[in-house]
Amino acid sequence: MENGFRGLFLSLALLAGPTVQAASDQAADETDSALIEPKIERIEFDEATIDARDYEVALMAGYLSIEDFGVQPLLELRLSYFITENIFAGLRLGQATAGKTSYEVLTAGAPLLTPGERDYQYYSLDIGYHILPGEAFVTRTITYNTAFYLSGGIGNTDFAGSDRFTLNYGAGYRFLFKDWLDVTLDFRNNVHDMDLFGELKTTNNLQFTLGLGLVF
Amino acid sequence: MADCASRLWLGLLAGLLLYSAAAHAQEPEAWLTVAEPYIDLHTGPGDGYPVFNVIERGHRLRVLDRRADWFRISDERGRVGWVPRSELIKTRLANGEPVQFASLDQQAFIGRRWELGVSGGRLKGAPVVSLYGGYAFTENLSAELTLEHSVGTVSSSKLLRLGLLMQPFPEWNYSPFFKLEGGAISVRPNATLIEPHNKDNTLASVGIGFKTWLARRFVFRFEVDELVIFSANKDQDDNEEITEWKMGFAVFF
Repeated sequence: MENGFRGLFLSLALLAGPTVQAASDQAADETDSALIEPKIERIEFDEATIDARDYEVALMAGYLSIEDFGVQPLLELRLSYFITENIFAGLRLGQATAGKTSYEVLTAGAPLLTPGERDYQYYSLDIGYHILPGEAFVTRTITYNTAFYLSGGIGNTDFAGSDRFTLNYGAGYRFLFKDWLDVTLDFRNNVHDMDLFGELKTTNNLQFTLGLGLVF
Repeated sequence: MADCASRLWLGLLAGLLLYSAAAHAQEPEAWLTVAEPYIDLHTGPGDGYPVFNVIERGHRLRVLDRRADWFRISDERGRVGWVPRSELIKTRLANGEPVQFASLDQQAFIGRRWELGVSGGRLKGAPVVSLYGGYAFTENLSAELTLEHSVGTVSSSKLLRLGLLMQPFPEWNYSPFFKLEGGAISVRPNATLIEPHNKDNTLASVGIGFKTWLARRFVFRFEVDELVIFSANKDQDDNEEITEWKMGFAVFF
């Protein structure tokens, strides 16, 4: 009887044996295949998909002192491209309307310029450098990135009926409220020749502007 | 003027709102794992900004955005800081592969597609400001569109030129180029002179110059052009030949 049971178990074991073995083989196969072919997460890291904030568009408003023609409100549009984190190149477009010269006011005679000629419009191609990048600590926990920059460039001023080659240089302070929003305070000199009063002279036209910019 | 200004401000504000909405919509999801002992986190985009934290080996970060070669990143604990490209290459993707970055070297310049530049110089003795855009078909051949403004004492000229530029040795450090252009010139006399009418003429030009890669996206360029301005009067043979030189900087994409 005992032998009978033993025989039964043995035969069962024999029958089951290969199955158990097969199962463990299968498991081993699975492990092997897992080693050979891992489940690769296809995460492509493409630098081009990273949102690059290399451009800035800013609207500036302030005052322009037009030599001999008084101090007038000025509106300026700026487009900048950051070549590196500190070097930027840009285009400025500006518009102001010249006032009257002291001569025109005192003599109340014939105006020197027609209304159209009083439009002071300029463009400039500039290059700038964040010479003092820094941080402003508003409170213990709130800090903003800032930059003091120098910039300059060449362009043209259309004023008093003629185009005038214009050189400009200046400095400013950029305050980044967000990575995409900044406020800029800018002081600049626009230098160009004028021959309106008979003799050719070089004029210095200082501008002071404050503006809001979007970085994108 | 005031009306124009307020409209501009309104436009800018509307753009700002739209832009901030768009900025929230984009969420890059790829997590990178630090593969070297640590990565420094700076408070701003630049070497001068202090290091306020580090992310250690095995910890993860994700890139939020970038400014030039600096990347604003966030780690698993939500700390946000800036790392330069040279630090970010010390990370790996979730599958263990190193992160690949496009390198901005001379080779990148040779293989560029778009180029945008500004330059200054002299056109027939008068100062000239120039803005140009170029598209490269191959390493050797590109098309360029140039806008120029030259301001002299008696008149100012606006020029538009379109042409082909041939660069036979793009791999040279100072790579020479030759160009052929056609276009138009509009001359505006200064108001103090009697002749009040603008003169428009067509022109053709040949040029020679060189480009040299400086750093990253920066290129320096110098050229001398010979322009022929065709006479508007077909009966007269009074074509004008003028020389121009200019130098400037360009960025490429």
